[in-house]
Amino acid sequence: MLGAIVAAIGVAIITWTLLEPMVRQPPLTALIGSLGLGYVFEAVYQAAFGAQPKTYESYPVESGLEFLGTSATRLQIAATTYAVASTCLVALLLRSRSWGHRLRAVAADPELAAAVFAIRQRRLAWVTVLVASVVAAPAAVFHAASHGVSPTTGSEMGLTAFVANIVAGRGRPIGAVLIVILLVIMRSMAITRPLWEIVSIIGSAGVVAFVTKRRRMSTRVRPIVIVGAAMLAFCATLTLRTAIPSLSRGLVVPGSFQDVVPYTFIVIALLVWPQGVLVARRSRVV
Amino acid sequence: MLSAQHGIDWLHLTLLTAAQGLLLHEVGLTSFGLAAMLLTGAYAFGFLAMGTVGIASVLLGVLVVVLLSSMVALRVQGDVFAVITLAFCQILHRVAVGAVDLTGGSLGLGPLHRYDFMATDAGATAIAAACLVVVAAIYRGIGRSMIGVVLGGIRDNELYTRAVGHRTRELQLIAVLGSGLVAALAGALGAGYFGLVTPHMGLLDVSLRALAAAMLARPLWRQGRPMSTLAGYAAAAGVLVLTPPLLRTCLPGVGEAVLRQALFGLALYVLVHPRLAARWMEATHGRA
Repeated sequence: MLGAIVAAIGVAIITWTLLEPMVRQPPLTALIGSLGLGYVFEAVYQAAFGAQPKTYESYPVESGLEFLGTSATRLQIAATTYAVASTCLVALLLRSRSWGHRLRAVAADPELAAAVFAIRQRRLAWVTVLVASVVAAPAAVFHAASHGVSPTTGSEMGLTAFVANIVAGRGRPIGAVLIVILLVIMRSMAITRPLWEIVSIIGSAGVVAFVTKRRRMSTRVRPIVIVGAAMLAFCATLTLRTAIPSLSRGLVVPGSFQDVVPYTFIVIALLVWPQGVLVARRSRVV
Repeated sequence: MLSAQHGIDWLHLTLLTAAQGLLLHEVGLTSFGLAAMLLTGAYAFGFLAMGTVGIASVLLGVLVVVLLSSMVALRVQGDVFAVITLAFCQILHRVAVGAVDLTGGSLGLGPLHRYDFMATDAGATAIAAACLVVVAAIYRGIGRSMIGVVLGGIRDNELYTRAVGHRTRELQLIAVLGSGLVAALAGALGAGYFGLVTPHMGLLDVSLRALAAAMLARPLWRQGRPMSTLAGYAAAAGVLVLTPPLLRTCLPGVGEAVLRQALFGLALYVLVHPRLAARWMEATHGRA
């Protein structure tokens, strides 16, 4: 784990050196530059380690632990625990530390933050890259332990993370985490639950999101209300399916289309909230 | 080392680059979805070749898919437009992989029955060249007309262009629609030559390749000078097509693929790097 963190810091230094000129450019510029660097890193890793996936051969095969109607290995439980803990830690840092306050100020208005508060954006961005690398390194170790590692590991996840940040909106890193969790849940539910159930849950969350926006609910409370509504709808559909067994035989998305569902949600979310699901809509000029 | 297939690949990539360049340079939109349109055109040709549907249905189907995706994507602008086109690319790729009964899944459709001359190098070259001439003529017509000027106005200041009375939304839609149809044409030509359609034709890498070629041709782009722009697209496409066989002569085997990927990634990085891209422009344009 320590090796992974040290390696992540080393990669962060290289990446920051190369991507620092794009900090003040539009996000798309940084995306294309990052994709290009990603291809270069993939090529370097392939040249150094080969294209075949590598696994931790010494890691023992685990049996699942049963709880709450599902099963999970110790590795999966540890990975989930780490994900929750690191998200909470980052949220706490963003709220309580001066680094977090400055980061939020820059996210809200970079020019104002630089001119009025004299926030050094480059230094702040470097610290943020460092924090992100240190947080991601143990997660990468957990992922590699269960899925193996190859030169292309992480490319798809990185793209999904970028898209989730666009969907969540500017300055909503924790919101992006919730969006990613939602996408993964949707991907899993799409092939196990009837379509009417998924539509009901998403529709309920959508209606609540619309109503809470109309009523100008606080942006801190709104995500909790939306998630709560989705969970209530989930419980309601579960109850309905238990009470009326025939409802379980609804149309189910075929497994081969599993990945289509989260991307469809992304398109719908961006069409309805182009500024981001968790960001207040700016008034239109025309 | 070089074969007729490279020439055909070059023609196809020039078409795709022209489609990408129309959006990037003329309208100011970055799209990652041209691979999806290319895939649509390729599968449309595949269905036609297999006799699954008639030509009218195929053309209508392609038009509906391209029009629908253009209308949906144009509801937003800027970075969000790019993300939505990226999502469309992923959706269509996943559908092509998932709909095994219809598309053959990962294996795709093939071998496709088509006219003999389409499968020959000379025939495929002639068809691709003819299509490129037609597309170039249309591009030239747009570039030298008021439409090109208005598209430039949309790119530089959409609000002002709309304020002076131009129908910016409709023109943007026509440009995105035209770009998608050209990409679909490139896909159909590719399917016609190779006699095979696979979901790999709709990967994000294909869009990035066209985007890199369009950005590489930026120094030759001029407002109102479509021919020099098209020459730039052709030259950039030529660089991307010729680099792999040239590398193979130096590094046979796996080394060539690795180096090619590294160079492609480096090209993408350099083309968006603010200082390096500015130096590339200065070197080709000279200092202002």
